[in-house]
Amino acid sequence: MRSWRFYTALALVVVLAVLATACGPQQASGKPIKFGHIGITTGPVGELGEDVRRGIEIAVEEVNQSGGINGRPLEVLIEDDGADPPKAAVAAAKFAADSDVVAIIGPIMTATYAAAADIVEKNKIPAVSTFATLDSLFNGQCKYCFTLGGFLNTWQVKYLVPEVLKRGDQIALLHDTTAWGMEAKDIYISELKARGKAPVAVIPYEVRQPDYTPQILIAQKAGANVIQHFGVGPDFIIAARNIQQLNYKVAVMGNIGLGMRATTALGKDAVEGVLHPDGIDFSKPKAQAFREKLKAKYATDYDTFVAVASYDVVMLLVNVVKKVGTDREKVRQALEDTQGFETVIGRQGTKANFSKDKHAALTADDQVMKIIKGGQRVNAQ
Amino acid sequence: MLWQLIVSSLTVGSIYALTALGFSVVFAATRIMNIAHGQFVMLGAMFGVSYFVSMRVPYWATIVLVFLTVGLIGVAMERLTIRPIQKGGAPLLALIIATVAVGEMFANGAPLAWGVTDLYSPPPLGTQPLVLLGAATHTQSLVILALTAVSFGSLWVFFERTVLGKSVRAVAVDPFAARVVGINVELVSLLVFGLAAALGGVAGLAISPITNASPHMGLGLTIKGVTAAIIGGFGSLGGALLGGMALGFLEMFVAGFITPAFRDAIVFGILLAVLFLRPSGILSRA
Repeated sequence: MRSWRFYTALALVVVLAVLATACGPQQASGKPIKFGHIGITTGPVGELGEDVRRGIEIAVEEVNQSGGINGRPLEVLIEDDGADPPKAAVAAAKFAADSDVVAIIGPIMTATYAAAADIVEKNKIPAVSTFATLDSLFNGQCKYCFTLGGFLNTWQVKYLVPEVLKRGDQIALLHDTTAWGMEAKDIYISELKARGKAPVAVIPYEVRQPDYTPQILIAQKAGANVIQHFGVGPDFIIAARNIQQLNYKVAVMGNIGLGMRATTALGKDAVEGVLHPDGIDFSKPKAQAFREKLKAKYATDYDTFVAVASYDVVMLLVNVVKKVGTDREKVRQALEDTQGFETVIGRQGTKANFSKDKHAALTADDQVMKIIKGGQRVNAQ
Repeated sequence: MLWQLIVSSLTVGSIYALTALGFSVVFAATRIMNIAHGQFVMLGAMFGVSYFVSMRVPYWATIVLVFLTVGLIGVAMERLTIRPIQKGGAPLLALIIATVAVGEMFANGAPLAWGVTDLYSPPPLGTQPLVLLGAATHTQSLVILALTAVSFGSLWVFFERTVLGKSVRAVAVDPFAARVVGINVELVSLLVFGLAAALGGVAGLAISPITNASPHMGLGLTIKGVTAAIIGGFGSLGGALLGGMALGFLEMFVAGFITPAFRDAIVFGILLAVLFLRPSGILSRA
């Protein structure tokens, strides 16, 4: 026969176990709440997609470890659009047809988002992009279109022009021929005109070419002392190598598209001293903590805002669903009504604000000027 | 500006010519347009980074290893896809579609092996620009120009001066007659696929310090390579060289002297005009 000591010890163990369960992290249970992510796992900008996915993974982990959304676990379904606009439209239609999907995270790029916008609007499913930046998509005309990390071309230009004019007054505008690059070029020229200035050269280029020497020679011949680039990292690297090769001493200012890891990883000494706006300030403790988390989980040191934007998008949607539930229309309305949502992205004190005619959360003042030094981006003075 | 553009165009033209070479060699012997060829160039770039950067193999040995590795992949492609489909009596179009399928497999498989990110391929001669009579160029341009000369020169010698090379030409003219006189047509096809792939791989290694080594570079190079080969005259070595250079020079000169805005529209318009005048390509005997 067992002694009273045995039963006392057993009771103690049971009590401790119950207490431990109650005090530990709350586990979410029940039917998951689903978001659909239209991401990029293949194609030339797969790196961007990988970084976005990492931000989402960290967010989902955090949400589920802290009890989920009102006790229900969060699940993010993923579709790959390969940065291909028609595929993005198909993915949006697929998520729209799945009644369990509350909202879409993405598509990531401006061109893919533009292709999916009609589907999103017709099927009344909110879609929050990480980086889409076309002004015309996010002026509220598309009721279900939102962007959090995407700094609209207008905001980028408003921030860039004064910064560029500090570095030179003979500006050559080098831009890619995507819809995004073309819109940026028009807005940039208008902004310069409003200040009584004009670029000395406007130079388009097609993406993924092996050499941009003719474009750089045009800038040089026009006497440009500063080149303003609108495009993404991989193309810029080729142009930067051509600038270096021609021994052309010119200030180079990129746009937010240079925030890809590839810019520094592949550009090496050709991109030293290049300036570009970024969406994150690592002197902000929340941002630095996120950087450490990414480093610990993926062994990659992120010095840009790329992975952070998707984290913020998930957290924004979680915040909204916690308040209004999973009805798509209510989620859309709550997104539009969002004011003062604190983000990791942006400067110290940056908050995401939407309104009826403003579906892009951030503005010109939320950007941070970075300079590439020793292969790393640091805050520029 | 003119001299600078000439120097830069030589590099770009050589990149296109080296890619066109593989298309022409395979077509000359088998009448198959191997759409997967641009992916061999990509594989050369990716294996090159693996050997030269990750495994720290010396550059000369990397060239040999890339030649062998990608050459073997070309042989495997011929043996595992082209040959069985050919034996089944499939029409030529089916063989071309098969090369599209293989190309897609390489394009989709490469990110699984190397990741989705472009890789940095360090130039073996350093990043300091070279100045030639006032025009600056990348040190890697020298490697590319040398490779172009060696590839075209050695292939010319092979086709014109060796028994094996003449066998390949005989198969191209009439496979049945070649078989009758004792030429092993299957072996010739295998050799040609392997050789084209190997040369494409080395071309990829050479151009990667300029373009970066990217698992996504194959398709763009396929388009440029096929265009160059068609313009020069499909199946002709000289045509591949001429077509590649014509495309490279046109692209750079239109962008530099006319407008970079409609570069491709103007360049391809000119090339279309060339095809109206010489439908089989500039150096075609047809």
